Amino acid sequence: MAHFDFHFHLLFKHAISGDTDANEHTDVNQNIDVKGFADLLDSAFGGPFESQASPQMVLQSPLKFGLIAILSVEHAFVKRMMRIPGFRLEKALPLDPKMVQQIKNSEVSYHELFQKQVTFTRDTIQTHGKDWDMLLLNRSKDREEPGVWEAIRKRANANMQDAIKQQQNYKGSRWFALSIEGGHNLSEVPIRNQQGLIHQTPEETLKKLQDREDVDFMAINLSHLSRIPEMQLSGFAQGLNMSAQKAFKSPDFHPATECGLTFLGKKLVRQALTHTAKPILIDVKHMSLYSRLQYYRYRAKLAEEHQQVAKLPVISSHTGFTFTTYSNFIGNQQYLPQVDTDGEGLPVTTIAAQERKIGKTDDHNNEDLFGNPWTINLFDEEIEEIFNTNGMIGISLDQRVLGTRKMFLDGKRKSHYEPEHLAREEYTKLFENGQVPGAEAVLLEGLQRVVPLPRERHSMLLALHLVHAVRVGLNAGIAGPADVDDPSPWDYLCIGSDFDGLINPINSVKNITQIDRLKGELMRYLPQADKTLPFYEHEKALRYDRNGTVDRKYLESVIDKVLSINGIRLLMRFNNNWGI
Amino acid sequence: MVTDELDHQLSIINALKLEAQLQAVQRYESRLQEIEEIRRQIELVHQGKLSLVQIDTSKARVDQRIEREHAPRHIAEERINGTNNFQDAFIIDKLAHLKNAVCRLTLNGRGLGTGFMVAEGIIITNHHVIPDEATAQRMEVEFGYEFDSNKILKKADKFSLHPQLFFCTSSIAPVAGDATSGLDFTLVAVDPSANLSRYTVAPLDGTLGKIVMGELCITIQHPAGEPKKVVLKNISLLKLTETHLIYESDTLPGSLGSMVVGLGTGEIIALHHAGVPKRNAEGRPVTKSGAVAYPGTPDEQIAWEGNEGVRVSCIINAIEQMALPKAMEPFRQKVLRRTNDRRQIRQEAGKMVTESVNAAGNHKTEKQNVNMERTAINKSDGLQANELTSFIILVKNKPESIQQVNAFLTARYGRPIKIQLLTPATAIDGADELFEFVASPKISLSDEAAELTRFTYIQAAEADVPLALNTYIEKREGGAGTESVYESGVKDKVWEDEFASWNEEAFQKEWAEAEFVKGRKAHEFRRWNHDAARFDKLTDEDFSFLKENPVFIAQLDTGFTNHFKVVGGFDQDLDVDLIDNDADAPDELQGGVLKFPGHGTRTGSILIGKQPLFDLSDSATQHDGNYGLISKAGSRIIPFRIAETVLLLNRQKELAKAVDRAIASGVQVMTMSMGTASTITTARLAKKTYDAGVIWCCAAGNEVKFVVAPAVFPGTIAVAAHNPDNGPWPKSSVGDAVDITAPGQDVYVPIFAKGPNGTRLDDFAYGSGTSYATPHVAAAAALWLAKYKTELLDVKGWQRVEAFRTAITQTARQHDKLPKRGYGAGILNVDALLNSKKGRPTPEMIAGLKYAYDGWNEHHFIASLQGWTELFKSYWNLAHGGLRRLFGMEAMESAAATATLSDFSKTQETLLFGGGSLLESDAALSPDEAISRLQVLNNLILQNAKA
Repeated sequence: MAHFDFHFHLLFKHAISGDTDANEHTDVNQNIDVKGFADLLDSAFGGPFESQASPQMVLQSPLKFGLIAILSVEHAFVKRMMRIPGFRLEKALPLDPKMVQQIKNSEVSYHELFQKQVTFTRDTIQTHGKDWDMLLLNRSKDREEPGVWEAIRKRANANMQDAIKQQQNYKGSRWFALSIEGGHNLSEVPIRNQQGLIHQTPEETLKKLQDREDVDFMAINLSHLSRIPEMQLSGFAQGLNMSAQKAFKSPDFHPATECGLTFLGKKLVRQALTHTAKPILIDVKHMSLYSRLQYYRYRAKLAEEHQQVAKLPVISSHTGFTFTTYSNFIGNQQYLPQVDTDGEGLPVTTIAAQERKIGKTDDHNNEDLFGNPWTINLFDEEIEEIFNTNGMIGISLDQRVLGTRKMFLDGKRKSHYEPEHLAREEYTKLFENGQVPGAEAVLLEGLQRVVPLPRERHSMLLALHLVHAVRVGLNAGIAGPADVDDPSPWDYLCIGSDFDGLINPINSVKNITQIDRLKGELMRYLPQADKTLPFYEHEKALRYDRNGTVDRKYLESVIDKVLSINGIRLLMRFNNNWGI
Repeated sequence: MVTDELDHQLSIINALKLEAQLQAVQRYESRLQEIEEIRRQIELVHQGKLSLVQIDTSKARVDQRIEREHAPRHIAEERINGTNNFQDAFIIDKLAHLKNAVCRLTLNGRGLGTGFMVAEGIIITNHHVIPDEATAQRMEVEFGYEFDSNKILKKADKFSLHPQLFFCTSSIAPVAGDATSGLDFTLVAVDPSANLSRYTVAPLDGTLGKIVMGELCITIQHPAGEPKKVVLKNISLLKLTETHLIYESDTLPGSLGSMVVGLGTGEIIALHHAGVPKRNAEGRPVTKSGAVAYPGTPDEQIAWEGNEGVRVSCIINAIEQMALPKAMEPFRQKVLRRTNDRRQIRQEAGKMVTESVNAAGNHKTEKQNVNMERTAINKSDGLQANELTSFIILVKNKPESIQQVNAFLTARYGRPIKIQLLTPATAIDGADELFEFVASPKISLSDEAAELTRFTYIQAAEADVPLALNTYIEKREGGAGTESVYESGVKDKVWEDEFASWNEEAFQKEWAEAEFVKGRKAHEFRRWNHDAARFDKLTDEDFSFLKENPVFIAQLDTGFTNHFKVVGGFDQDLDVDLIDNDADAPDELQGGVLKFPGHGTRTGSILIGKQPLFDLSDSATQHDGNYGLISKAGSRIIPFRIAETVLLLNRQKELAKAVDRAIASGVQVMTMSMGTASTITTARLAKKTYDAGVIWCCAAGNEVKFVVAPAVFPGTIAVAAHNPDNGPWPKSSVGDAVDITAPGQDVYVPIFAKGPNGTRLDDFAYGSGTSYATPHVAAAAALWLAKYKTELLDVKGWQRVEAFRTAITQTARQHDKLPKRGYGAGILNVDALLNSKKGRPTPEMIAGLKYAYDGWNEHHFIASLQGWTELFKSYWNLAHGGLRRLFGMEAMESAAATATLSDFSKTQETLLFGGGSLLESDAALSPDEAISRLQVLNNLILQNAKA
């Protein structure tokens, strides 16, 4: 099958390793290979440093379409890297130590680093594109060489139509679009500068990118994993858990001081969505719940002024779900809050959500499955919101995003999940006062010994997510897009693996080369998930005959949609500039 | 011959020296008991059992000594005590400077004593070194006779003395009836053609407080005429007599004329003149070996037990009183200059304000003869000790310092305390940042704040107590015997509910001949402010930039109301209410005391008030007319509600939160039509805003005449007010800090009038205040930022603010009626700002910009603020409370708790204004007096920033 991945990092690890200043990166035809102590760390932490979706792996995989996320390394990662006596993490990891120093010492802006990565990605794909049979989608108008971009678009459309039709036998090229992961990539002032400079015109920076002919971006995340004081666009949700804190030990991974979509964020959203030739979608992944709710509202308002905005879908490229509505979560206070100040003068606000059982396995000693209730994951209202915009949700393949918490006996939980941090004002407004405005997972698992889980737990979690979203859609009366065969909420779902984004992947799919395992896993676990998911039980995500036997053809068709067709259709819409 | 002359002179000197020594011994012995007691106490200090300042029995001296530290009493005491062994490094520069003033006096090349230059071309030494003019004629003065770091003698300069130009002397022994005698000093002029540029002047300061008992001093000298030496060894001050001071030292064997310097202040405290030798039972001086010493025994062999110097203050007194030929008068004045400067510093601080106000012209302070009752409001801190209070402290934003402070506070208050960043969203790692915590101190809040700063990691501290806000309220007699109200709702009766009334009749009467009124129809002169600031000249294209590139403007005020004029103009999606954490920031519209309905509505209307829907040219009955300066661009403003009323800023924290949120969210312009007392917090916020590149337009202030905070700080844009005839608004604050003047007197703004059955009618009235002038500049800033967006793309941080300041000042409109001084560059001219070359931020303009905080010593400023803050805030609140009481309003109740001034502040008050503490007394203090004292204090504090 011609797989689609909504969110992965093709060259991120290559781009940040080697001598980035001299443009001498690790050979792109080689995987990043961590050695020595770092290797030990890598396996202890669940393998975030080893390559998961390098070009070579992609070539060996059935991945044909997708979004390549580009981002610069945030200050929080380099601020205080784990200190083990006699050992420096930044030296052992595949990271250019010079770049680390530049980031630490405010010698460079995120945008400069981002630009370098864009150039590197563009050039690498240009140079090796022929060998790899890999191309980048681009909506640019032809200026210098008439017909070039137009020809590429035509070819892409033809390939994608072919892939939807042929599926198993697709022989065409690999087509990818680019996305910008994190608003910080647009900041043009020195990282963490001591003068307190703010980049006041991120919209201009984005416009310059949109006006470029050589590259094109489909989406941008307003925030990422950490605090960016020099340019706040929106609040971010905690993504890293406590064991990650041990490695990178920075309070900057905790939301604390943000508050919703800022004026800078609004200017950026406006610029992103109203550029007529190359609008850029807002990917709500990583935004705080408060900011997401504010964004939905702001987008709707903007759509009143600018018709084209209504055509631009809301997306979340690599998410999990909380398996509840925020009205329920907040209204019935299904969490324990705590308000304090940390030792560094920052407000600390945490909530520990009640564990939420979302399904069962046959393993009777360890049967219950739980979602990840952190507010980085989407709430039911949001699933509905995204469907209503003809949007797309990519389910992450990070086991932590999907709900895994412990290495073993994960089916036994206490009452509450690990607390997550919220920004103080967002907490006060939304959680305390119920004002609706207008964690990504875990990088590192801790230093305990890894005990592998029965792999199906993770696949089951993935299946539960898909089923849940579909049920939410059905419950809300979402019919599905008008222009597809047999429309349903299934048409709004895909996979966003986040491979090479420093994640801890689900056990069944360790990297991109194993992505074809997903179909089998889903064939097996979607019906189970549809059986055991305790929410919206009156709605069934799959179809059954009179005896209650799963309609296998339908099952296969929705899996094809999720793993391939939906994403390709989205790319086609992008390739045709959303019909604007 | 040469030898004879020298021998002769030496014998004279030796004889005189013995006389001086005799005098010294007598004085020493008469005070022996006290000296022994002080020695004992110094020993206790060394053991840490006593504080140095406790040794000295003169409170005035201790207080003045403390004042010289420019630091809160406790810090100052700590420094003086030396228990905190750190002293600012500039003391070394000061000492190096003093060293270069020291010279030796020679006769035929032989060094006979030490002297030092106290004014350009005038040296001082002992009388017994140069007893008369004739000796002076023969002697020479040699500067620079000292070793360099390679122990090679430097090239020295010798000059002759010119006693005929200036000479005065005071004998060794007191002469009956001559108060200037008995001080053993001589001042003499140096050859006026001498090139003294390599050497420095060490002026004498005759005021008190340069040293306290037990404190250390050092000497710089030419012992026995040798190359220059310093004695850095412990020399403690033992006793001050009326004329002399006695110090403990065995290292000053008759170093005649040496300079004695207080180590704590780096000020000259005495002219050394004699040693006190140890004596045997017969009273004969003895040598170190115990033998009886003779007049010829070298000094270094004699056992010394004390030394005596002549007090600088006495020398200065004597110089002042001496009868001198008229020709010598200029020299005398040169010597006295430093002393006079210091003595006058306080008076001058007061005078400067008055002068600048007078220079600004036609200002008449209305005599307010209402006696102000002294109520609790005048107590600055407002809150009693032991109540839970917020403190704001300045700490380096590093985990280590924060942890130290947390541990310190936890120990101090006996419960876990974690300080929290006051501006967390914009805090910079490793920079000095404001933090807050809550505690219930056992002593007064300002004493507590001062105590806190004793801890090394806390650089400054203040209690976050309510502060009066400086917003103008005027009661005005209208025509036809009725009272009409300008700035809304000020009349007593009106104030009890929330209403005001239309007052155009009074306006027309006063301004019939004014440039922007005469010959115009109502709908035209109601928007005279557009015409005055040249907004009327702007084209649609000028507004189109702002329309296409919205600039986010934050209004720090009381929130908004639903007056039809402003409906839709406030961006309610984004507003931030820092008072109640409510979703929106509407004014609560509570009438009466403490409430000032609609201040945010009125100031906001100047920016975003709706354009009238109908053509008003024929409709005399319509009251509508004025509208927002940037309404044509479809702009909206974001209300940040920082105060419940315009009278009181309950917490500076709320202002800090607003500024933090505004900067972090990408606000480009802030407008604040409220002012308050200078505080550590407002000072830091102004600088933070400036560094981040956010233009903060601030009202210069009303009534108090001096520019209030935050307008007074270099980083903000300070706006004064003018009237409909291009003249000054007499109540506007003025001063060097003002950048620009904009329409502020009698501007047409929305109010609520009383309708039937107590209903509320949307209406309008003319009101005054720098409150109204400020939004004009904010509007100009928004238009300018939008128009020059491209030009400003790469202009970051403070340069954005400075470029704007340059642009508005260079394009300002001049008018004869507006005084040249105190009103900044003139009247805002937005047309020129947007459409002339001078308003354009060219690369050349950007390259020439200067950082506003160059020449502003933030460190000194904060330290000085820390020291004066209680008194300043007290007078601030007193003055503002008084103003309000004049208009029939009662005291600000929330600030009305009774608290007393700390002893420190009482002392300051007495020192500064004489008499006992007025804040503490029951005597009535008129608002005028409170304001004038406030001006003195304000200038004192600011002077330190500029020093």
